[in-house]
Amino acid sequence: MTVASTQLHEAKGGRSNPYLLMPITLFFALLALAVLRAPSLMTSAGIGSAIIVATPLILATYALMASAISGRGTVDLSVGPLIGFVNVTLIQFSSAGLLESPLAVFLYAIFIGALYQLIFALIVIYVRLQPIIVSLSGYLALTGINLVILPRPGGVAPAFMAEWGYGTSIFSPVLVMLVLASAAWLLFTATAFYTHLRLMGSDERAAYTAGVPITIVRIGAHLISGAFAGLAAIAFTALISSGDPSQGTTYTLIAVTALVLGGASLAGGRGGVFGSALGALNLYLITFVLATFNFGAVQSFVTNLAYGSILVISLLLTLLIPVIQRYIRNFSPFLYFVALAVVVLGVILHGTFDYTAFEAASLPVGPMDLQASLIAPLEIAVSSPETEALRAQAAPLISAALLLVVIAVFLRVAFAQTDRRRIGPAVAVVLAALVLGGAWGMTQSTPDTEVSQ
Amino acid sequence: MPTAAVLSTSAEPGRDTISVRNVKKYFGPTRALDGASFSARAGEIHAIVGGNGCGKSTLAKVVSGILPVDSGAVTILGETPSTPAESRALGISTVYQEVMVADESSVVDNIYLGADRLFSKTLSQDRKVARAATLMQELSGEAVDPHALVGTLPLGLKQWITIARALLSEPKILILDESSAALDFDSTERLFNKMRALRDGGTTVLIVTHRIAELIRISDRATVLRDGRDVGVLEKHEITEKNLLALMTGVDRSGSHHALAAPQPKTAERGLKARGLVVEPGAKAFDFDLRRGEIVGVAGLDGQGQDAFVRVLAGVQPAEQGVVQVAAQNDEWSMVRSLPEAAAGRISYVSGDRKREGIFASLSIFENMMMPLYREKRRGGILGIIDRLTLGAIFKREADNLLIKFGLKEDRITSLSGGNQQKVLIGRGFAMRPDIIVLNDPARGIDVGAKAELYKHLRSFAEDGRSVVYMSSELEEFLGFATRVIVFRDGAPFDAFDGSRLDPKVVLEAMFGQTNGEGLTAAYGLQPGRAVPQTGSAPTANGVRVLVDVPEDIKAALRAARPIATPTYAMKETTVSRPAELSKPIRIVEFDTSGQKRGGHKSVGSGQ
Amino acid sequence: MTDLAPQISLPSRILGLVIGLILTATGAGFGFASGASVQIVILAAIATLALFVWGWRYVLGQFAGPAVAAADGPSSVWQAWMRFRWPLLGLALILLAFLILSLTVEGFFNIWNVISLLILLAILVLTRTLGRQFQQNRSAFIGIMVLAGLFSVGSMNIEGFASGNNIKSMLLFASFLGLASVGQTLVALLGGLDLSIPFVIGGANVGLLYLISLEVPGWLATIIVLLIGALLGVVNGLLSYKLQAQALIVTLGTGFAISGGVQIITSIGSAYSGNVFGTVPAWLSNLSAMNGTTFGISFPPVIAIWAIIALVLIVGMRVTLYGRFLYALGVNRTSASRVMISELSYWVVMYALSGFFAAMTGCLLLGWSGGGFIGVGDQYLFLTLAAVVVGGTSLLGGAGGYGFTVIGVLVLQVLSSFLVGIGLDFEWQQFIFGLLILPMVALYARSPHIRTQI
Repeated sequence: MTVASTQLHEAKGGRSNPYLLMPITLFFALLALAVLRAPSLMTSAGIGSAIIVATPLILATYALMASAISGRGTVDLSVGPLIGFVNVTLIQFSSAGLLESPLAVFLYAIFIGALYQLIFALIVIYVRLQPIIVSLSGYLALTGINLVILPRPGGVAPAFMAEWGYGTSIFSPVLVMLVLASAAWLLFTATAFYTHLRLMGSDERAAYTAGVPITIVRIGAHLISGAFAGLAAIAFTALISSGDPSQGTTYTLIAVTALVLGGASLAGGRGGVFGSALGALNLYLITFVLATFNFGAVQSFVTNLAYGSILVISLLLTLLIPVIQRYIRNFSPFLYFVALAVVVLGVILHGTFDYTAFEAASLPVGPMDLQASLIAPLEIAVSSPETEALRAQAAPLISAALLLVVIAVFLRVAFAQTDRRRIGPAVAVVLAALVLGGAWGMTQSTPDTEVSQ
Repeated sequence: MPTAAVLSTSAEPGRDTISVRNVKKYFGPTRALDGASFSARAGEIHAIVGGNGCGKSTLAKVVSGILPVDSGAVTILGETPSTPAESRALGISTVYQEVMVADESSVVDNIYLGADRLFSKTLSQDRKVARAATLMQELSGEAVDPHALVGTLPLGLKQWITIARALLSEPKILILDESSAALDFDSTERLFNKMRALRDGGTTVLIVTHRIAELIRISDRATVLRDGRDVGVLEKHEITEKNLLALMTGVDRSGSHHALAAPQPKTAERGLKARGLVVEPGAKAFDFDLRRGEIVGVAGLDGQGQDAFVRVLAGVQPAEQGVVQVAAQNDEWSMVRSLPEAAAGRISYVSGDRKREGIFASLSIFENMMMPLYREKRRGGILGIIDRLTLGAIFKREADNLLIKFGLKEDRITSLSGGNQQKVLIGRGFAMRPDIIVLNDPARGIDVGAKAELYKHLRSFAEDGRSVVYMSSELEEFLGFATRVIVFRDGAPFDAFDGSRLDPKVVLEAMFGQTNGEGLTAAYGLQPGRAVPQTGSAPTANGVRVLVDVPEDIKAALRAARPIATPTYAMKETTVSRPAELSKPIRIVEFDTSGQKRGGHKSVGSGQ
Repeated sequence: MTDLAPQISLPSRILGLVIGLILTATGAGFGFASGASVQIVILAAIATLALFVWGWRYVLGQFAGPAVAAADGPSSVWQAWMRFRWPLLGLALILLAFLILSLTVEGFFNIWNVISLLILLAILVLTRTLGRQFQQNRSAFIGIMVLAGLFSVGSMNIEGFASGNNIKSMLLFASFLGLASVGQTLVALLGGLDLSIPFVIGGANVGLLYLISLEVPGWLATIIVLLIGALLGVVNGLLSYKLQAQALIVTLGTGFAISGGVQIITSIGSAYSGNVFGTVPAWLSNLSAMNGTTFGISFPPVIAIWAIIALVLIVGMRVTLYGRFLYALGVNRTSASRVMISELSYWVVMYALSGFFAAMTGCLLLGWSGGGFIGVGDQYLFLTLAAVVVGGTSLLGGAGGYGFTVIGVLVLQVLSSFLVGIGLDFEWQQFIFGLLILPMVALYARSPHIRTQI
């Protein structure tokens, strides 16, 4: 401490939170790979269907996250069966003519989810059982009862959500639901309740002795988790447009994997929608990328293998976090995200650039639909030659701007941190490599445009 | 002395804010509080003091509303809070012994933990940050980034965060439960200043401590606890070490204990040596020798490296640098780097932290004691069948030796009281038939009677020519028990003292770095036999050798002229009189095979 | 229940119970030999036991003097209520349920159901009164009582429940579950969990058939599969040790990877994508088929295998140092490391055993079904856990044992058989198992209150 006191201007402690390092990196790596493998992902329909498929998983991960933050090793294994339970009861009610209006459906789903989680929380608090045991018990009981309620897949979803699952455009009710849910969580993080929750998860005894009403906070966390689970069930129902007693169950493992991939701590105290959404998206992208390889009959086996190994590997990587923390003392996930996003945008442009169409320019010429290009700016694969021409002119500008931004970021990072042993080296190296690679890729792939200028 | 405890319950300077009447709190068979009472006023620093396991921490928890009492009345500011939230609302802030912070969260969140209402914040985040930054600067004396994750901070700063949390709400009552444990000297001083300022503002500051020097400096009144009962209240002018010790230990018992003589080694033969040892990162390197037949006391303020030192000696944790070697057969030394090596070198380790690294809670008493011998006494080779017959005999022997009181040996160990559990663990250490036993604060939380038996047992163990390394957080334990005492500070030995002339006050000063540390090189220092250069590679061959022959008439004279300050000196009827009062003559006493000519006479003469 | 509770020493109580059990068993043996109907025999047996135990207590109680008079306090009625409120409430609830059922369900009120009710009540009372003597092994005692109750009620209400064939089939399935639970028990004693068991079972099931279809000799294929199972266990052990608190998630992950990997391997070069065809060797079929014979006696050898393994484990855990060290590690790993018990090696070995026994179950299940199916182990995902938990092994480690798991397995098997008998499907069974876990765990594995942890 005497050493520290000689340099009083330097505040003690590191703000570093490198847990998002891995999900962000993995996300962009997978995204780049996915776009390169299948450019069709970056169409309105591609993104739309991605959202439809990924939303139940993302929301299920949120549900897990909310209760996992509360500590005591709460990993709610019953989230999958709970989604299934809401799904099958919803289908049964709606085919019985009840629950027709959207409002009723939403209220019902959220209520059931919250009710289940309330019971869960009460057992954990007052019977003082380990949460994992309670969730196991819930898993078995709900899996059983789901099959009793709806013995085999079938039924029809409420009429109003019949078209939700088509996923033909980016903007769908499901997306709205996802955005609202995420925004709600972000708003929630601004409240004192969230701070209580996080601190309780990190050290329950500290919170208790400091006068935090831990019972109420824990119940609150479970209620939020239940609400998310209800929303996940609606998204799931929209996706399959019917009832399925066993499909929901599979969400348990995937959601837990997504949670771990997203950098949340299963011990509690750490987690957020950003990481959880990234984790879930990563899993979706893994499935997507694997699907592009077309393994034929063994597709599902390969997916299983990949899920399992990625879960284990990402758990093992969390062991490295303290080591990283020692070297990167001031890591800004946001900065890192933006930097990588810029790079991957370049890759996406490259991947979706229809060079043959540009060169041949023989496609039927139509008027440029400004409206459409605004709404679906990334719908590039089938764009008109005019757009292509426009883009061709813009390409060098974009690449130059990209390089400038990246260099600026790099310099900021490099200069701001040189005197301290903080962020810097690792992020800088990653960035530099990716920037150079992206720039190289772009110059390689756009010689014509450069020449045409 | 109980008479010194002038009771003055009627509140003159301030009204009574805390009133505890005849409170009892039992944990199973353990009586943590057994009818304790005390009261504290507004505008005073009140110390709750007592030895380990006297119930003072339990009392703090009762006052802060964490533990409900079994019987008795607790009134704080006219109410009886039953949860920490209620006591916080009443204006009671507590800093607990254990540093409780949320590692995943920022400094500012940790400081403001519990300050907000359930949904809305009491302060905007910006103002919280600013306040947290100034508060931490003020308290810890260095700038702390309020956004920093607490997990990245050192322990001392974490402790400050918990203190800052308690100070934040301008408490009416502030309870500090051993809160200076993780703080260094300067920080403790800053904390004391803060406490005085609060007191002058009318706050009741309640400190719970077993550190006598600290509480003498800071407290206005002190309530002394012993065995779960209050045994006296001392006013400011009565708070002296003598009065406190008298009350804490109980006069009768401490007297009999102190009258005993510390065992003296019969030879200079060393059982263990350490060379260039560094036990904590950044600490000084030192050498250390352990002779056969001595009890080495190890002391120091919490976290000054003494704990690491005994663990390194026992092979529980590796040394940062340097080597620890134990005497093996054929005059050879074998390394101690790990537990198996320590066991091979016949070193056993007994921890005072029973719950964490001692007992196996759901296993039987028998198993708890005999577990380490399972391997040695197995039958059927690889099948590893436990030889319960042989082990049963050993168990009976150790249990009889240590006077362990138990029902059936198949009963769970948790059915025993703390003291008896500790005896079982010590029995585990003895059952391995060690040459060296290393004890890490073993008397923590056991009663005085059990302690006395433990000392007796260890003493006879040492008198058999084996060695004991005994770390304790209570200096009183070393009186009349330790051959020499080594005080640690900043991760290395700071000073050493002769056990037969031990003055707790001086040792305490050494713990605070107020002595010159010259004891380290004395005959009772780190290497008692180092003074005369040793030539050759074979140290102390041939086992026990009597080198000093004290004539009978001198011994008689010695007994007659026993100095009052050292009542225990030369009580023992051994041919090896190892006089150790003065540093100069003692250096002449050497146990080299050829060093017989000089020796006893001169030193003994100087002792007269 | 409201007697003076004479103070009889524990040994004499146990002695009484043992004599009673022997008497009961002898009586039952005579009953079966003289051809009485099963129901009568069971009734008589229970009556014998109850009478004897009561008599024993009564007679000894005369010598032992009454209990120390209760301290002054509220009225004795209130004290009795406070002491016995839970069993009394339970009694009331059961009576109420029976009343409602009798009034609503046609033909429910018959002699067998009334007797079943009486048996249930008797068990409740016995559990309550005798359960106090078994503080440490209470869950096992309760398990045995539940087992006895279920079995006797089942045999009275369900046609052929107590028939030799049904018992044989129950034991057969119990041995599969029991073998699968060996690993789970060992790992739980350390404080871990192994959720990869079902996937290893499925993988072994398919993998063995795949090897056989490649014309590897059956015995060699089995050994290969068992070794691979153990190897996967080693991997699990290393990973779980590294990621201490997350054994559950880790093993779930490895399980999925194993299941996917095995299927990929068996699908390579096959046109049937994951479906493997082959002929199961006769000796393997005999091991685990219902009509298998053991040295000429007509019962499946797998039951004997299970019995032997259970015996070795139960005895081994008590008398060998390996067993005791396992418990020591589970109770307090820091203390264990101080007596030089290597944590890593125990984790690895226990998970390896878990993988080994899971693979063994998979192989035996192949013998039973005759065709490979990757999902054959799926139901064991939670059943093994349920067996461990219902038996009374703590998932926190250090308490319990395989003997407990055997009881748990039998309870689950008899319950499942009973539920099938009264016409409930697998789904209902799962539901009931799920709800059953909570009270069983609540009996012995509650976390301490946060107040006491500060």
